[in-house]
Amino acid sequence: MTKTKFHNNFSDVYGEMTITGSIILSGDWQPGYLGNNEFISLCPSEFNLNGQSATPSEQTAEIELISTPDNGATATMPSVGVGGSGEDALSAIKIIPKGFKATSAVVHGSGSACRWEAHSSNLDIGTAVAQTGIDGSAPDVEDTASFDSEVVGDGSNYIVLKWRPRNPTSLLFGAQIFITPV
Amino acid sequence: MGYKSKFNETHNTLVGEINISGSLTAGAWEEGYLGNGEFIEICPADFCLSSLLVSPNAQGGTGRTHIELIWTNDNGGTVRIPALGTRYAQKIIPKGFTATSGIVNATADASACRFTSSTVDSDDTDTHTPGTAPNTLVAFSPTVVGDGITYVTVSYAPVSATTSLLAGAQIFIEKT
Repeated sequence: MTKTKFHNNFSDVYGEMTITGSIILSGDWQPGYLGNNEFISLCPSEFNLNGQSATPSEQTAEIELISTPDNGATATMPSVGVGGSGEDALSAIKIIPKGFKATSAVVHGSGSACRWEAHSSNLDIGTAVAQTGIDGSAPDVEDTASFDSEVVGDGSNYIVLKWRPRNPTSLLFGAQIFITPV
Repeated sequence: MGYKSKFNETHNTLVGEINISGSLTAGAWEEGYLGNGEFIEICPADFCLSSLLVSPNAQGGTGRTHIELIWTNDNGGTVRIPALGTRYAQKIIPKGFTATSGIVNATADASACRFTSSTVDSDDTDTHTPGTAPNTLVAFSPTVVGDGITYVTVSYAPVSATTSLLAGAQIFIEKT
């Protein structure tokens, strides 16, 4: 008897199925992140984790959040440079899809001397590992940087992208984390 | 001569890489956004981008003078925008799909809703709908093709800091 699960027609496979290799579809949608097996895209609004813990005026005058001057095409960090504790940075976090590994990234934006950093962590732990240069060695915005180690998606591993604007007019366009099948 | 099948070992295991010329559906899971081939769901908490640069002292209260955030008093069922101003949510359109329409679900009042698009590597913006009232399904013109870097921005400008309740939004998608 033929070993097949195509009981009724050539299109429907019944029951559970395990594929030892990859699935490749002829259309544009591919297994990965939202149909993309090359990179994870991040919108500017996803950079909503603030590096500042307090500013001198405690938001009585400054906004500690991200703002958009152009209907969401870019984001700014209005409170850059107002002092206080913490860091002038906004971060976004993305889980790496299972079956893929993250190898590099780029943060898009404009403004003089803006930098970005990548770090990796896991939902189960409270520490992060730098995957790119940091501080003065951090890559410039619009420069793509490879990670120090490949971050394999196990369901809970994630990448933190940190955007470091230099002033309140620095613009963030978005970002990409490049992935490849394991 | 071997049988032309990749079910080499069992009925449940296909060995090696599989090329599928059509779509992939597995149970209720479909290609699209989180297994949904019809629409992208936007939770109220996704509206985390503000248009405010500095707002007046509009959120006075005990122990605080300004909170520029969204807040909920019904465990996340809806959110309100205490400082008013426009709030934005953004969603990448999945590759292989085209965004065709959208709707913002909120209190039926004079609040304004709009859909625009941009890409993660530019500061360009395209407008796809005029300003519309909440709870109005509006078609995108032009539609937005998912190429991996293009996202749709949903904006919501409430008319009241206390009675305009934002419940969420949807972006409807079709296979390209």
